[in-house]
Amino acid sequence: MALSRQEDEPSPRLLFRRMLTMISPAVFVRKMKGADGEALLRGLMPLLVALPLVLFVLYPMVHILGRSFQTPEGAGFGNYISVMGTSRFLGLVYNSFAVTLMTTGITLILAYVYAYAIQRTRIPFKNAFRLFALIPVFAPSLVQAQGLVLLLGRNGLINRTFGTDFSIYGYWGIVIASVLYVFPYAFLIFSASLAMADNRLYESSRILGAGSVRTFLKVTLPSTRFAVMASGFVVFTLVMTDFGNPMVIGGDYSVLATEVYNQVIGQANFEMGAVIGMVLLLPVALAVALEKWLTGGRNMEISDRAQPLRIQPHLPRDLAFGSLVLPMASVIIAVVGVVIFASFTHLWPYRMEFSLRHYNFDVQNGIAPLWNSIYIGLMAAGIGVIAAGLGAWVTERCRTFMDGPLYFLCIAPAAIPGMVLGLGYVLAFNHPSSPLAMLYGSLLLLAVCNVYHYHAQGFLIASTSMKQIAGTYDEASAALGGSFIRTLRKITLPLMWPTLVGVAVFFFMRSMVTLSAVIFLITPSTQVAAVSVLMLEDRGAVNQAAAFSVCIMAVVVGVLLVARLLLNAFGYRHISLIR
Amino acid sequence: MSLEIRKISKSFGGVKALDDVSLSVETGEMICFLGPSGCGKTTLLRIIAGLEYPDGGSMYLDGRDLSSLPARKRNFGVVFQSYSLFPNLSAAANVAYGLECRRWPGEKIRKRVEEMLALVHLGDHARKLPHQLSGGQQQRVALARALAPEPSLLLLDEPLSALDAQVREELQEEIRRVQQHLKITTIMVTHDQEEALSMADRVMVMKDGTVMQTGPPMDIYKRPENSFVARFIGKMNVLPAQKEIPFQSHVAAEGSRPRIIGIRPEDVQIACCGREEGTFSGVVDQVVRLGNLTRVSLRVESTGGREKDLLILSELQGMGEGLEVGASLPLCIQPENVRVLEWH
Repeated sequence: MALSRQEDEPSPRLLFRRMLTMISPAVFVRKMKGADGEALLRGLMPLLVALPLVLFVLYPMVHILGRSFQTPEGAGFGNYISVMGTSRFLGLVYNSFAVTLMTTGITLILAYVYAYAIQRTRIPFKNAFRLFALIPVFAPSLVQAQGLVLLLGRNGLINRTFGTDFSIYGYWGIVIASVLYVFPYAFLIFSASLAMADNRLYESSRILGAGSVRTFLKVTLPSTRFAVMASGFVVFTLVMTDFGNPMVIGGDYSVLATEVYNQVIGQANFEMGAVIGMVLLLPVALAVALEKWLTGGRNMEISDRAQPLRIQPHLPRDLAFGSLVLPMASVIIAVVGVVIFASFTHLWPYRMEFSLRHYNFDVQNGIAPLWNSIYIGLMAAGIGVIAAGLGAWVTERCRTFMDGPLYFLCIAPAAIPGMVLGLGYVLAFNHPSSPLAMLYGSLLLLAVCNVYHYHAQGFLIASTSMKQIAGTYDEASAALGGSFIRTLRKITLPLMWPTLVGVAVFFFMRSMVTLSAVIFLITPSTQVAAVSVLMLEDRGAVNQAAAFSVCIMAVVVGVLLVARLLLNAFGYRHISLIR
Repeated sequence: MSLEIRKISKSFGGVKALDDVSLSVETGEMICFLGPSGCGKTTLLRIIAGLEYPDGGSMYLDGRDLSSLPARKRNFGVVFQSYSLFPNLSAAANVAYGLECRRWPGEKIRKRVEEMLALVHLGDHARKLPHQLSGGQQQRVALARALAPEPSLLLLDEPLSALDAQVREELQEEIRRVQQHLKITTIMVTHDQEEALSMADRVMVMKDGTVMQTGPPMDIYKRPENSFVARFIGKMNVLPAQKEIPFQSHVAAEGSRPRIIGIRPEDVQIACCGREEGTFSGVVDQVVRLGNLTRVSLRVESTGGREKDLLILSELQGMGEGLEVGASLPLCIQPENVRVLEWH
């Protein structure tokens, strides 16, 4: 999820000069004299990428911004003044930051230790531990809160078993659930960064007489500093905008994200929802911008002559890390495991005998939301692959004056909280005068919303892979007389397809588990599974909620397995599917 | 096909990569662009190929204006330094690619691919993927691929610099053989002077986006026109012109005096000329023995005035027995071997 751009950004002056050359008549005429269908089509490609981004990202954002200034007395700052003046609002801001900063701090330390143990020690069962760390990615984003409630809630396993009256609801509940939720993302970034090391540095350090603590502080930590920053910002963004976990486990403790939901769904107060949404947008956009500015894609800093790290045997170290990793993995497994377990009990925690009755789904809509989620996931996978792939191809290969702005547009969604985007969609498309009003209430719009919610990450996966395909293939093809369509069909796509499978799986997975963007867009007939979990949990139907969660996880894991087998069958073991 | 290039210029972000470069290439000729990295030789080749657009200037192929023709319509064969074989296609499919783009009928394609692979001695490797071939083999396939569509011009961008010495030499001969066999007009970019001198009909030496000298290899070696070419092609003593060193006066322009002169080390003989003019006395400063060749640098003391001591390099055949540092020896420079490189 680290948003990084690996190549040099053209300076604004250069960009401007390029734009001038494009419009200067002499050059234009020379370029157009030999113009054929191909050149024309090529010129249109950037528009093909930009248009949907403008329509499905900028346009909704303009709507939400406009709405936040809309008051009964006309346009003005009235909404902002009435929201920000209240002590409740200040409390919400404080709560959000208190949860987010605490979670970020804890997660960075735990994930670093976990990743270090896997990449830099000789603990056994590394592959299993790696898999355990990633479990939360396969689950709906509120599964951690769900599991914690089942374990530690008022009627949870602990309180029932020991007759205690312990309460998990509130600040620490949210923090624990959030740590579990974002742990895999931080782990993935640290793991990638720690996997790359230059053995020569470590040998020099040892030869010079540095101890292991000193080597860690002087060699390891500096070489992973960009990863620390990147995962810090990623975690910050995820926690700040997450609302599933606070909804379920927050009790009376409200944060900004839950407040947007309460204002819009609870009180139908779109203006206030929009205002708080904009307030939420600010720190997230800042975090994303800061991450780009600070890391600038340098989190992969290693010379090509580096030698792979050889990890020396060192029993005390391995024992220490083993004893840290084991409990962490156990908690992750326990929290998700209890959800699976509860879904198969008659009535948690009163009647624990085995039962499949929660899989009958005798709730409103029955099993339909799961199918909706699958349809949406498939559509999002299809649309997402085209959008991200085309975006990557145009920004990496077409070399137009629009590269800079296009690149920005492609990664801008990373700075937009899902809830804000979803609310923007409601405001933009649930309007009879909107030309796209017919999309509203369709599964297609939900799929589109998911695609653009996660566009930045999908785009970066595709463009990283596009960068690895040498540009000279395009030139060789052109010199041999191939049109760009032929190059794309015969060369680029055949080389890219494993990555594109990965992108499709990414969009499918996120569509299955996401809550925040779609929560405002669902109608009774387009209910999705992740939202069902939230609704059932909210009603106290914990067993059915658990069963829904298990179904989502099963689908995600099933798709992952199929994709993995497919890629392995073609010899693409190195393509990673979990992002 | 003959190629005419007129006043091509190109800058990248304010830096001039090519500055009014003109050149004409004759039909069937092989010309090398030679120069240090960053001299603009590859940029010029890419502009000829249509992979880059010039800021100004024009190009004509047999009199036809090329400027508005995109790369894929120029029908030039290009071989890149990095091979750039399509990694997902077999050797045969790579060679067939350009023919498919031109919509040749299947049977004709099959025959042509066979013929081209045989030409580069890779008939047995048709079905292999690029990563199953060695670097030299890949570059042979790239050559076959570039030549298959019967291009009007063959462009080679440092085709051999990624290969090791022995394979490089083999391929140098191979490329030259194929080029002369097909009589195809060819432009090759290289930074290796030996490669340029041994392969080309003509060499164009470039520096900082400008042409320093164009001519047949031996002409460039024998008669460098400036100190850059003198130093870049082979070894040359580049010295300030002094009264005692003779040169043939017929080259002198009206009213100008020579400022810098050049003498090839092999033209500095360690012997007496038998006359006073051109004979110097030098002290051996350093001796480097390379087996079949010995390099001696000699210090020639100035005769006073503002002139400084000269350090002159001489190359002798053989082991140079008896040469010792500090020994004082006579050396002889014939006036016809002295080139004036710069004038006042």
